[in-house]
Formats: sequence, C-alpha cells, structure tokens
Amino acid sequence: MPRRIALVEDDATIRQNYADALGRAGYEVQAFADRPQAMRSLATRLPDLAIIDIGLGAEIDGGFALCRELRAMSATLPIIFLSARDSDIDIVSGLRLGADDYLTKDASLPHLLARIAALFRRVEAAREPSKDEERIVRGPLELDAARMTALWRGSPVDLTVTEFWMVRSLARHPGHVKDRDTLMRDAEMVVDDGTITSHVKRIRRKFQAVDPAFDAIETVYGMGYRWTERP
Amino acid sequence: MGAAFVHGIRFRLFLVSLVLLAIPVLAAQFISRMETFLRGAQEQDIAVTARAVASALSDRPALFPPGGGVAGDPEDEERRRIVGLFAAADPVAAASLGRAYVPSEEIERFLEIMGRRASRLWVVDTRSRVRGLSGSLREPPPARGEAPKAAIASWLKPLVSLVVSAPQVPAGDESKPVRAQIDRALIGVSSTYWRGTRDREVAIVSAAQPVFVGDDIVGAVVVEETTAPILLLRQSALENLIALTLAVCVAAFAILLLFASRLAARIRRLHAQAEAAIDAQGRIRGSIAVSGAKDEIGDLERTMAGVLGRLRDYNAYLEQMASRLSHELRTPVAVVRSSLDNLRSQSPGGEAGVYLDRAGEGVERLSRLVSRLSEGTRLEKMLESAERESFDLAAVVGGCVEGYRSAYPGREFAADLPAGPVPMSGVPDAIAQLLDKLVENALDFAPPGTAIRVALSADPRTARLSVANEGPPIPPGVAPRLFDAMVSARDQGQGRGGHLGLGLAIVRLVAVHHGGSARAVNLPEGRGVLFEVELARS
Repeated sequence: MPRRIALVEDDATIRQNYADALGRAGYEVQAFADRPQAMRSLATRLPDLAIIDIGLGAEIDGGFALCRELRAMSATLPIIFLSARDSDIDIVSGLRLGADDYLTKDASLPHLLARIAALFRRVEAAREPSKDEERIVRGPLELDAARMTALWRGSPVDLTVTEFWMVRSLARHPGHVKDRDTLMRDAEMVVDDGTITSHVKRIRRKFQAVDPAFDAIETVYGMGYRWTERP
Repeated sequence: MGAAFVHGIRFRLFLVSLVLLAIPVLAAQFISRMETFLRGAQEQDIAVTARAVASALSDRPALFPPGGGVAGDPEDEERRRIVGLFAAADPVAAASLGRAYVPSEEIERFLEIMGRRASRLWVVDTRSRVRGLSGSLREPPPARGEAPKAAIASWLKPLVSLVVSAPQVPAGDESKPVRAQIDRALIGVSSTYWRGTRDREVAIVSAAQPVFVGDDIVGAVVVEETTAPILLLRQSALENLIALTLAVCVAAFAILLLFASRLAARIRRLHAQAEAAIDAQGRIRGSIAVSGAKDEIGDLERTMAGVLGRLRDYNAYLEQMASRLSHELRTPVAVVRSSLDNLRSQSPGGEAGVYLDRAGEGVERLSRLVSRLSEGTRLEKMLESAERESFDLAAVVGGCVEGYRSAYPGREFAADLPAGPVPMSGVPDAIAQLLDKLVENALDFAPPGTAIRVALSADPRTARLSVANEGPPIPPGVAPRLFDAMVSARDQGQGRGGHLGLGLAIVRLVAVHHGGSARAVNLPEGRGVLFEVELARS
C-alpha cells in the first residue's frame, strides 16, 4: 500500500507540481489549500507524513497552528515544513512545534524526496532491530543511520533529518574539517552559509541539553567545522 | 564662540534693541525744545518786567529830578568816568561803582518791591548814572543733596551736549549791562539782548526799557536774568530722563536677552536633536522630543518629528523591501524549479535535456540571488539573538585566512597578525562572516597575481581589521555610500550576476553591532584600496 502524504500549500501551481512529483515517486498525495480544509480531512484519517507551508492563504501562521493540531493527534507523525520564509525565528518556531524538518522552497524536488524518504526510513527503522553496519560509534556518540537516531552517552538526542546528516558527516571522519559546502552537500541542503551556522548552533544546543559539557563540534573559522574526540 | 555669538539670535536682537536708544534721544530733543520755549518765555517775561518797572517809575517823576540832583561836574567828563567805572564794576559790590553809583533810596526801595528773584534790575538816568541796582545774577548756593547730581551731570555732560546744544550766543560781560542797549533805551528803543557768560551753558538775557516822564526820557530800566534756572530745570529733567530711560533700556535689554536666550536654547536643543537623529550614513537613529509649545518653534518641532517619523517609516520600508522581495520571489522561483524538476524526471534527455539543464542553472542562480537579498535582514536577526562570547579575534582571523588559502589556491593571501591573542567579546561567527565579505570583495577587485593583505592590530580598547587589495581605486563620492545595501562601485556587467552590493552592508552591520565602524579608503599613489573595520573589544 502506498504511503499517504498530506500536502498543505496555498499556491496552486506549487501544490500541483509537488503533488505530481510525489505521485511519480509512488506516494499517494492528498493536497489541501488551507488549514480548515486540511483539518477536516486529516482529523478523520491521519496521513503517513505531512508537508506544510507556514503561510496558508489569509492565515499568516496557519502552518504552525496546523502542525500543533497534528502533533496533538499523533506524536510520531513525520511533519516537514516547506516555506518561503527562511528566518531563524521561523525555523526555530517550526521545529519547536514538533516538526521533523524544515525546508525552504529553494529546495529542489529531489532534495525534498530525499528528505521524505529519510523520514520514512527513520519511522520504519524504529520498528526493526538495527543493523550494525549502519551504526557509527565515536566515543560517547552513537549514530544509527538506519533509524536516523543519535545517542550521546546513552541518551537520545532529538535531531531533525537535516541535523542528523550534518552530525553524521562530521562524525564520520573525526578531526577532519568539513567546510560548509561539504556539509551542505551531505545534508542535501540548498542554503547559504548563515543557515549552516544556525544549524550547527542548534545541533550544539540539542547535545548540550543532554550533556552541558558537550563541545565535540569545533568551529574552524573561515573553513568550517570538525568533530573532535576527547578521551 | 565669538563668531557664533556674532551670528547668533541674541546678538541680532541686541542690535535690534538699539532702537530703544531713540527714546532718550527723542526725549532730549523734546527737552531742548522746551528749553527754547522757556527761554522765549523768559525773554518776554523780563521784557514785561522791564516795561512794568519803567511805567511804574514814569508815574514817579519825582524820582528823576531834572538835572539828576547831582552836583554838576562837566557832563562829558562825568560820562567818561562812568564808562570807566562801569568797566570795573562788580554788580554785587555796588559800592565800587563809586561816584557813578548814585543810588536814590526811593528807587532802590521801589526796585526791591518790583524786583524778581534771580534777576538784576538797573535803573540808569540820562547821564548814565546808575540810580538803582537790585538783585544779583549770582546763583543761589546749591541745596544739600544736589552735589551727587552735579557729579552725574559732569560725566553726562559730553553725552548731554551731544543731544542738547547750548544756545549759541557770543559771550559778553557778566558784571554789567551792555552799553549799547542802555544807549538805545535812552533814545527810546526798548530791546532784549542775549549774551553768553564764562559758563558755556549759561546765558544772560537782558531787556532795556526807557523811562518816560511825560514825553521826556528820563532814564532807562534794564532787567537781567541768567538762564541758570532753566538750565537747572533742564539738567534735572535730563537726569530724570536719563535715569529712567537707562532703567527702561536695561530692563528691556535684560528681558530681550532672556527671551533670546530661551529662544536660542530651544532652537539649539532642536538643532542638537535633529543632528543626533540622523547618523553619518543618513540613517535615522533617534527621534525629536516634542515639547508641546504652541509657538512657531513648537510647530517646527512637531513638523520635524513628523518628517523624521515618516522618513523612518520609509527607511524601514526600504530596508524591509529586500527581505520582502526575497520572500515574494521565492514562491515563483519554487514554481519554476519544481516545474523544471518535474519536466526533467519525465524527459529522457537529449537536446531538451540541455536546455533543461540551462534553465535549471538559471533558476539556481536566481535562487541564490533571492536568498542573498534577505541575507542582511537574516544576519541582523541573528545578531540580535546571538549571545556575545569571549573569543580570540587573532585566532578567528588566522583561521579564516588559512581557510581562504585553501579555498582559493590560485590567490596569494598575506596576513599581518599580532603575535599574541586578541581577546574580545562578540559574535565570532559574525566576525568571520564580515571577513568573508571583505575578502570576497577584495578577490573581485584584485588583479590576478597580486596579494590580498589581511591585517589585524589592536589596542586595549579597539581592534582594527583591514583587508587591502591592489585593485582600481574607488571612484570619488562612492566611498561613503559603499557600505549601503545595493550600492556597488562595480562596473555594470562586470560581476558574475551575483552582486547586489549587500556584502559590504553586512560588513557594516556586523561592525556596528560590535560597537565599531567600517570605512574604505584609496591607498596613496594608486596602490589599491583598503577596507578597514574598527571593533570595540569589550
């Protein structure tokens, strides 16, 4: 049975384009133009994944409200924000409301599809026993690429897909400086340097929430970031 | 200060208030008119007195006995002697008239009755003998308490004489009447005559009147008075006037000065506020406090506050425009991009694929441009929320230069950094971004094969970071606006299409956030361009 994706986007052309692409990728797509319409349909039957625009017609923050309502209905439903807005405030607000990822509309369709696939993989992997070859262990850090989960000193760190990919890219070769372009490629992002900086900042914060002494991600000014391992 | 005062409102008002000086001048002229009038009146007065005395005497022919009642010396000899005696006479020491003074007791008594205070009366008979003398032209001794007034008068005199001219009459003998006047009276012509005295201010007016007994002239009456009383009157009037106008002028000056100072202070405050409201780059930084005054300056304050507010709104609109534009453009870019992606996934390639790739490239470039548009706003928000931390600026700059060397292997980077660490507090990511922008800018302009020099120097309070390249100089007039968004010194079409001039705006944004400033200068002798950023270390 194909996975069902709910797409809430007020721009008809984009909605149609994304719906076409998702359909071609083998997903079943339910497209909605505004929040009430989406809520009416989704409340009766939850989709497998939701892609939500923040500004929905007249509702400037309709996407945030919708995300909150969906999250209240299901704690595990993967939600992706797809918005023209790219300010840190919007990204942080979206992620705080429980979205699993945040993409700007700069993202190409292959990027979007990769995110969706990653999220589904994570959901799926959570139900299966993990395979060792997909695990990376770097000192106190454990990354499970199949489930896209990260553990720091045994405690789970709640990373988005983007953030997981960035951590994985850094941790794969500890001590090597990853420049921003490489990180961007590894995380399949189409963003500028400033966004990478705020992503790294958020990742650090998430690790520090688990372990206040966390300092494994080092900034190498002018070059990028590197994962440092301390005994 | 001096020049400022001379051009100030207070000085102008002071000049304008000099008009007040016309008041004492006009008043003094009025007093001088009054004096002339009083002199005329005095002249008429003594003429009347002389006439009255003469007519009274003519009713008493007995007082002028024919032959004069004096033992007869030869007449001519007698007359000569009298003339001589007159010349030596002191009017007060009547006795010195000697034999020419042949007073008649009756006449003297009569004169006592008829005489006026401060006037001198002479009665002369046909043989020019003085038959009666009464009164004196000596001024009465000044009353007590008037002395200081005289002192005031003495230093005011030159001032007073400027506005009030003393009557110009030739000086004459104070001690005795004018001979010609008596002679004319003795032939029946009554007259008045002015003559001056040793005191330039004081004149003597005299009136002569023949005394008739029947149709014969038996003698003459001469009445003399000085203008001293009028002078006294004038003096005291002038003194009062001067004291009063001086007081009025001082008060008026004081009030005007106070008024002007208040006015000037308000305008200065407005000036200072207006000055502080807009910074060197023309951005609005402050506001104008409206005092609520209902006058023109209050109106000006309100208007300026309003203008400033509207300008601020407009500036905010302009500043937001880039990010709004970026936001608005994202959606159509997404439409094109997703359409192209869809198309690509359907078409197998071939010739269509080439064009599809090109379109994809174009959209890619457009998308970068659009995201760069909002870079400034995003950075601004990032700076607002970022926490300041302590870091080593030298390490950040050193690391960045290393990064540039590996990122641009074909270019040469020279770094001039202090040996030790340069600790400062701030947002290191933002500083790195600032340096990125400066180096990107330098790379665009530096001719191939030349080095880009990054230098850092620090004193205890500020750190100076500079990036120099050997590119062409900045055209004159562009330098101050170089750090504004959307301003570029680049020739049109030179860039790769990715330049909207936001890079240097970001440099300034970061510098200002760190309590510093950014500037661009051409190096001497066309050796290139230097961009320098100053950062406060704490």
